[in-house]
Amino acid sequence: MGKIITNQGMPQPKIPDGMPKINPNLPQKSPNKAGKVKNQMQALKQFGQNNMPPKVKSDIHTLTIVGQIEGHAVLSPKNKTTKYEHLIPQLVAIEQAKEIKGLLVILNTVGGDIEAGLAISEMLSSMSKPVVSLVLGGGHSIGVPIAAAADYSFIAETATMIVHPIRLTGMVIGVPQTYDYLDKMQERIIRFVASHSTIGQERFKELMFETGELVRDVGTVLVGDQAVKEGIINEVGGLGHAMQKLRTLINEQFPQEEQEDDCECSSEEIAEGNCGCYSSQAEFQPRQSVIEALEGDDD
Amino acid sequence: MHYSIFVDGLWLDEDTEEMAETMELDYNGVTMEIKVTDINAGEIVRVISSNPNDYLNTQYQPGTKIEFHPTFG
Repeated sequence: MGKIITNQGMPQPKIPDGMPKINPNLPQKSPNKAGKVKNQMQALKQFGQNNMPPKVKSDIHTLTIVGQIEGHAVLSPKNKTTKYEHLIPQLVAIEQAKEIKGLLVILNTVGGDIEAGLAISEMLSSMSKPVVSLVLGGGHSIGVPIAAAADYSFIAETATMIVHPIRLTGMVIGVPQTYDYLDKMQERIIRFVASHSTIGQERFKELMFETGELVRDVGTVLVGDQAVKEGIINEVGGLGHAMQKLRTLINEQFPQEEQEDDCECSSEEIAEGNCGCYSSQAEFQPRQSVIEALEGDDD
Repeated sequence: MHYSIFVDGLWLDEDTEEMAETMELDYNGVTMEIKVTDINAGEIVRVISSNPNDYLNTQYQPGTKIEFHPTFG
């Protein structure tokens, strides 16, 4: 008794004084649970994996575009960024996944890389699934085309959008072609916004080159309903409005009969009212197959 | 080329000495950014996912310590 037999003659590691001592004689509260936890811990230690929690179905996915939009250049870690290498594959996955019916894009961005921003905008506008965007806080600069790219866009009452000319960064060659190049880059943004919202190219340019609005820049600050009045955004609203609109668009695109029905009750149970899947009679809508089965019984 | 309201100096700032090292990790199929605290351990900084339910998962909450098996190559 009391002699510890160790494997391969290795000395037993000494338990430090502060460590809790486990009494093997104590009954375990819940052996199954304890075993599960132990298995989880082992899995975590060995593979960096853990058992998945029960999956909750969500047919709406969300993209939060926050901070700077990071494209070809890696920004300093001091910046909060949304990276295009994350967003682009996510958009492809959302487009491809059958169980995802709609996409909500939430913007709170100061702008960023033009190429990345336009890539995201183009992907959003060409998606086959309903896309609703919501500007909260701010959706500035390259955030404007992203917000406009959605099928329907919302802006919070307090949110702002700053429309201003693009700036040259990095090495600038002092030749007239530089201006032409800048103009071309700007034109891409203007054209995209104009073709994906009700604002005209001329008006958008006017907003862009407005003076007397911004302290250190040329441009316009659009607060909430001003963005709606200018036609860049469809409606002033919040999360609830955006979700409701997205549901409406989803129902239009995927009519009721095509939507998944999780009810596993038999047609008899539904007919006798013994099915608990529908909370009230008003919500009860038998599927076409059920109606046909019931009609078949009468014959 | 950038189209942003941010002042150039802010995002071009190279002074990063105080920033902790972070890395991206695929954990149960969810991409997340973690702050590396040890060779095989880290703390979740943020979850990168379009599935809103991943953000409700208490196991993925920012600040949660995770262990992983580092692979080289």
